[in-house]
Amino acid sequence: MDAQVWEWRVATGEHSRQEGEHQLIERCRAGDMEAFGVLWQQHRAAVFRSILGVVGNTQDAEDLTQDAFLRAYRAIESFRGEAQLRTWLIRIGVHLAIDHVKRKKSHPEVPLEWDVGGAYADIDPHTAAERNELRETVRKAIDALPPHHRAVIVLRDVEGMDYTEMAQALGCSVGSVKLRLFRARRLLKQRLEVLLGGSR
Amino acid sequence: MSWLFCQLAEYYLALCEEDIDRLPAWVRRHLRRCLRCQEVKVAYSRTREAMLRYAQHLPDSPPHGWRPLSLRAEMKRRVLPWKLTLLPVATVAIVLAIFSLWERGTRPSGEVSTVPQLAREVPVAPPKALSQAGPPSPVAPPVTGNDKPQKEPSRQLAAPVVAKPAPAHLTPVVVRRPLEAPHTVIASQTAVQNDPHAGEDGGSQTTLEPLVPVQPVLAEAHPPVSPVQPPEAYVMQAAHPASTGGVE
Repeated sequence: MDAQVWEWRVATGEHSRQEGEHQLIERCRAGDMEAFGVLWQQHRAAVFRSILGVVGNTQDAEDLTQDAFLRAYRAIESFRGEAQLRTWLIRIGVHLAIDHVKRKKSHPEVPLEWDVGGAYADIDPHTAAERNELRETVRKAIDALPPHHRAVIVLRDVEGMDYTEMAQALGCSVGSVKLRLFRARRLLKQRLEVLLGGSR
Repeated sequence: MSWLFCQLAEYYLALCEEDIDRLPAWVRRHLRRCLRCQEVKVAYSRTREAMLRYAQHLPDSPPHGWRPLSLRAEMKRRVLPWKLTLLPVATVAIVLAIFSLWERGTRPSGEVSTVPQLAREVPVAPPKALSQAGPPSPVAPPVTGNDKPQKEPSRQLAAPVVAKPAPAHLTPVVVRRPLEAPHTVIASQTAVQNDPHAGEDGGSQTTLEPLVPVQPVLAEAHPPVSPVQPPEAYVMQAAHPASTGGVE
């Protein structure tokens, strides 16, 4: 199939067939780009949110999401099906995000601000300002965490994964996930106490 | 001891998200008694609430919409699987293996030297006696890298043999004689038969005279060095004085 036609179909959401994820994966392994487009549409939001929670920048998150799906397409033959495809995709994305944060730590850049009016365009300015303030505060507290702690917080509180899924996504044991989450929340609590206590 | 309980209770409080009733009974009992742990519990609840509100407002997509996923480069990459990538390497390896087997088969059995060993061989200088005594012989063309190695076993091309020192009684004594110039001897003798009466004298027969007729013999001690430059002179030597008509 022509790539432009495929991109148009993906962009317009022309996929009415309800196919099982397993069949889509098999078709992807056979080189069917249309099937991968369906998977891209189903899981890109979750992958994007996970990456955005770690990196905190929409531009970087979008680039990393694209990169994560390209890597997933390249490695779809090695997907054994032991975990859910969503968990596998989030794992790729989170690891890319962690590497990105580590790389950025050695080469710091000025972060781009989120769109101020986009998400809160339908509410009154006072509430939007409060939410923006809270978001900035939490973002600062998350940015103060090490990358692995950011990932475990995001997977639990943003994506709502259980411990088993988190262990599969992070490549460690459940006990290790619990310990990381405890340390991450303790650090986040201390940081937020400082930030919110100063603002209140 | 109370500090240890507080630390352990904090671990459970950090991981507890929804219902306090899910906490172990000893943690709940400790929470009722310990004011510090109650404050910790409130702080964790506020942190969790802030995180949930933060997560609710995380965008699901980039602010300017999704870019189409470009898999064109990936398509081109997937067209060439690893088997096709390894094909030229495998072909070269097979050709090299066949060539080495062919070369080993065409080499004489006694020759063990290889080309790198030949390259490291120090060329043997021509003997001095030959260059001094004889006429200048034409210089052999130098062996270049493109030339094939000589098929005949040559002394110069033989691999350097690192031999163990042989016992003294087994070591052959090598007598080196200087090479002489090409020496051609022509022995000419007419077809004269020996004197038949010589033996009838009853006298003592000398062993100097051959009893068989001698034909002229052209013999070369050495082949000419060069076909262009023949030997300068031939030494005429009579096989027997009588053949030349000399006085006995």
